[in-house]
Amino acid sequence: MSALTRLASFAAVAGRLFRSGRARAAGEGGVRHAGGGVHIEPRYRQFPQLTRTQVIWGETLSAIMWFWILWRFWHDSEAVLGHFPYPDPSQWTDEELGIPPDDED
Amino acid sequence: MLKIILPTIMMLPTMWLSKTHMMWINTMTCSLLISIFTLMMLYLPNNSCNLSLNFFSDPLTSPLLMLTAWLLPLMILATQQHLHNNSAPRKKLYISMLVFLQISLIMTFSATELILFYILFETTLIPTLIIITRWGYQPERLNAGSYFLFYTLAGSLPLLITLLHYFSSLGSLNILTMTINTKEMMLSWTNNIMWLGCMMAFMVKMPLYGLHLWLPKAHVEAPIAGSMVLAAILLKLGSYGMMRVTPMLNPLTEKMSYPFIVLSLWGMVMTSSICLRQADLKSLIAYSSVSHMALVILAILIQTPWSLTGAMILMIAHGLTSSLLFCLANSNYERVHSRTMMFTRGLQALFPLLALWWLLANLTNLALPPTINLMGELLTILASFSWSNFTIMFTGFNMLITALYSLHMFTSTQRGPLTYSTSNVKPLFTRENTLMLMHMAPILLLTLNPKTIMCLTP
Amino acid sequence: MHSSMILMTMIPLLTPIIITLIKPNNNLLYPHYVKLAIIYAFTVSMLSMTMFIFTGQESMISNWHWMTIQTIELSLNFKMDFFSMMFTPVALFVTWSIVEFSMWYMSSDPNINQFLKYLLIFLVTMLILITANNLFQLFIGWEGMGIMSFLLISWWHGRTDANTAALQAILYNRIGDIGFILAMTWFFLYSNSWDFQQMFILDRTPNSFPLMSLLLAATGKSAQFGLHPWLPSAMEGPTPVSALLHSSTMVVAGVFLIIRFHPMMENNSLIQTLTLSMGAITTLFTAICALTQNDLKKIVAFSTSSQLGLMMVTIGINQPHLAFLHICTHAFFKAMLFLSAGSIIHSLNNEQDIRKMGGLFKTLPFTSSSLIIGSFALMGMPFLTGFYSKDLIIETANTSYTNAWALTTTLVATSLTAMYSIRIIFFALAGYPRFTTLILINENNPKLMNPINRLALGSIFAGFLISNCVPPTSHPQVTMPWHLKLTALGVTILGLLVATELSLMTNSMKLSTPLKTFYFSNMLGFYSATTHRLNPHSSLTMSQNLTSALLDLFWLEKSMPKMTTQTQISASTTSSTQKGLIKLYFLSFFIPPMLALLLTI
Repeated sequence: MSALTRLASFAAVAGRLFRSGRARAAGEGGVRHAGGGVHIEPRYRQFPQLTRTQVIWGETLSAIMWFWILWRFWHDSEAVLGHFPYPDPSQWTDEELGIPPDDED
Repeated sequence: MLKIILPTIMMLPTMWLSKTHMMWINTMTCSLLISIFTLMMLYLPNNSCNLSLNFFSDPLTSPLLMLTAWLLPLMILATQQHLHNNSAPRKKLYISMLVFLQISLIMTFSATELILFYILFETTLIPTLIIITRWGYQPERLNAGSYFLFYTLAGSLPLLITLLHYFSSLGSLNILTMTINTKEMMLSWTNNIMWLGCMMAFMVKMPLYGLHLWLPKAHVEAPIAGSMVLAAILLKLGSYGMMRVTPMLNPLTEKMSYPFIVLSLWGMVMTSSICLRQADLKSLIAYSSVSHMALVILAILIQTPWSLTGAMILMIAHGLTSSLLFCLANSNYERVHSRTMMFTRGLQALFPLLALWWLLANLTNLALPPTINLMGELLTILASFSWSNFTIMFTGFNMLITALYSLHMFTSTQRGPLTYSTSNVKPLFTRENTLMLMHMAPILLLTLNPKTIMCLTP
Repeated sequence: MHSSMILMTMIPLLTPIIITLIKPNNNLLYPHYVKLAIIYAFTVSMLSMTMFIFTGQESMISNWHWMTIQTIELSLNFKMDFFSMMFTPVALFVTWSIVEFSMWYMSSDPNINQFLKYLLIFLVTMLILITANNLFQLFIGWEGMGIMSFLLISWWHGRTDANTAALQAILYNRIGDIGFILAMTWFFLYSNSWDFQQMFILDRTPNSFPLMSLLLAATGKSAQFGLHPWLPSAMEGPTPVSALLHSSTMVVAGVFLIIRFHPMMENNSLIQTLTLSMGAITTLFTAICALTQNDLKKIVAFSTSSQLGLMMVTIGINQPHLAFLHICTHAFFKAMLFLSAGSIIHSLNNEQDIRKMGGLFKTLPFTSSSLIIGSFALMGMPFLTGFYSKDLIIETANTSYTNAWALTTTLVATSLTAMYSIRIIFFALAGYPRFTTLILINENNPKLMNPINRLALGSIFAGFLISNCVPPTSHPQVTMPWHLKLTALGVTILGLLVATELSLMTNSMKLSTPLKTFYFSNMLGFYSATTHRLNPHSSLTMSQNLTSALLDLFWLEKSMPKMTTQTQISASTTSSTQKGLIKLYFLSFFIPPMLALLLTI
């Protein structure tokens, strides 16, 4: 969240940089430039400017991941915890198994 | 067959009588037309084409004939540069040596009688010797020429005696009737010596490891056309002769071939290991030829239909690949006048097309699927595995080392940092690019239809 | 129907390669052609895959007859079965993302067209291998991938380390190829065919020899222990190459080969035990090596190697379909890990050492999210992609009658997976920045973000989708005691906790000499240090001294040519009475007849 609040202050200052920058395709303009995409000014000893796109996408991806994990866990928790309780052979009675009692011949 | 032999003989007056500026063009055109004739006339793989009493062609000879005829224009193309400063009669003399060699080679591969074959086999030595000793580059060429001559002669004189003996006992040494005309050779001292007499000439020519000393010398000292024809064709004379002579020698071959099979297996691995340590580019390619030919010897001595097919494919594939590698080494030599690999490092940054030819040549040398090199090696390895399971150790190890030295050759000449001494080398001329393409195209096209070179007699 | 689908998948991929031959001028739009071709091929292959899932119909397409040699007929044979139909879309999807990523990563490279062409040729050879029905066609794809790997690892060919790494890759792959050739020869001689269906019909229980040689082939190609050093060295290539070849596609070729032979493998317990042990050693050893590496790409490379060992373990417990599922899911998150690593490396001006990274959570939010998603998927976080394959594997291994040591090793390696993943996150993303002061960090290019987006969504959802859409292949384990069920999760959490504790402790420990085990792990078990010096030195010295100097130049020369010359020279000097006084000899021939003539005249 702090990233977004930090971003909001930039939105007031420079407009174009912070839309999802339209990238130039490799080949347009006939000039090869390393990078393409939005140009971020290099800085000295300071964190770079962040665009809205990358911050939001980063958060969105993580949100999707956690949502998916938790939703799946809610609906499909058997995949992690086990589908059926493991039967304990010592609890099976003789009658179920069809073993005759000891004093029969 | 006269369609091919007479035009080749007529190339001699054509060349001597043509004007100086038309000489190369005339010879190239004539030799290309002759090779087209070979392709047209000799592609009859299911029948043997009995053309006359003296010459014939069958599935064993036609691939080799096609290779021989195809190689002459390539040799002429390759020698234009280094003969540049010679006077016109010298150039014509050189080409007449090549044509003379070509005539004897064509007649050798299509001869019907074994004695005729022997005479022409010896005849091929003379122009080769002249080419090596007269037009070679270094003083060592004299030594190389005498090694070449005396090794081959020492091996082939017993062959003459043996052939004469057979002629007197069998009545005729016609190849076509040999399969029904021969007696069985039982195990006895006389027959052993006879077997050795027949085979030693071809073993020296192939060459078998142990008798191979002439090959690095001759290949390295010869000029480019000499190297090409030596690597591509003259070694195959030995294997062709072996394949023609072995029907006479049954069933002795099963016992007598043991030491030679062992020598060729061992020699394969030894010569490949030598290649890993060579600093001289042509010497590396020469030892690589010994290694590939050891596989062919192995295949021929095992004598199963699969292995003979593998030997044939391997012969053609190796001929084209080795010749291509020698042409590439020569284009290096012509620019830097040294055969050391390290002088021309990092060429891929300067000459990408040359790097492509080097890459393709080395990939076919290490038998990349689905090229014909791999087909030949695979069939040979299959046959030798069925002969004895243990041989796979040697053949497999050889495959490993072949890949290593081929790519070592590629990396040393094309990759790495550029040396300071390569500041004024020129890129490949169109002539040289054509030369490489004419080597590479048959290899790639034969991949699509290997049946033509597979020697599948019905 | 299937045959036209296959053609429509393959032909768009060949078109850009042919374009470079026809119109070789440097075309600025060529990268887009390549990307479009792969998108077309992916879409068509998705169609084939969905049709296969719906109908369950496998097919074998045999069209062009290449040659017939006596008893064998070789032709172009495509096998469209479960494995090839499922893996082709995955491979194409991953390649699509990587090609788009390399348009950003390699955009300053003047030969980017050639680079993309090489990637495309690699993809074609990969598809040839996947769809091959006979061993020869498989071998074509196998070797083709090896050579493309050589060309791509040494992409920056002026750099000696890159050339050495490429040669090393070829060396180890060729040792595996010896095994492949052995298997081909054996199968040819005993089943008279290289076609899978004929080999499986004739003899489902061959003796162990061909299967062991196939195992050797897989060891070479998939970097199992013994033939593994080429995989970390292959990180010399550019990051897209590492992402495509050495994580998702080429290195799984060895495992894929063994999976293809599963009808034979399931009957031979010796081979299963060998595969299991080989996989177990590999996964543990490479996970230990990954713990102390400092190069980001090398850690991910060792992670790949460890997962490959896990795939071999799965085959060893006779679950080839689970191994295949792991191949498919592993492609997604491993490629994404490499792409995120590439984004970090480029942003920090080609810095690959994790000790010089840090504090990237805030500066590269998108990349760090994707790195964390990939790491979680790798660790087997429930319900992400890795869970559906990895957890199933561990559960099946726990409940099967298998080698206890292999099982323990695999579990330890699973916890080590969590540990090195946390190590990457801790060093690269968390903490204070340790990179250089001129900040050039920029991840805003859509060509970077879209591929990572797609692969991230794939890492999250693909496991669920794939495992719910494919037909059940082997009997799944439905019930087991709770402690076995939660083993994988438990050891992973254990590894997470231990790694986090240790990493946080490093902030307050004083510097001391490392333990011996640290040296073992950091130097890759000293395997490279010993074998890469001992073996080459001995073989090269042997070839120089023994074969070249001793035999060739000395004994063979002395025995024949020199001996004949020596005998001739000595014979002629001892038996000749001539002293070379030519004039005297000529005069002695000339003077007596003259004298005789003069006397008789």
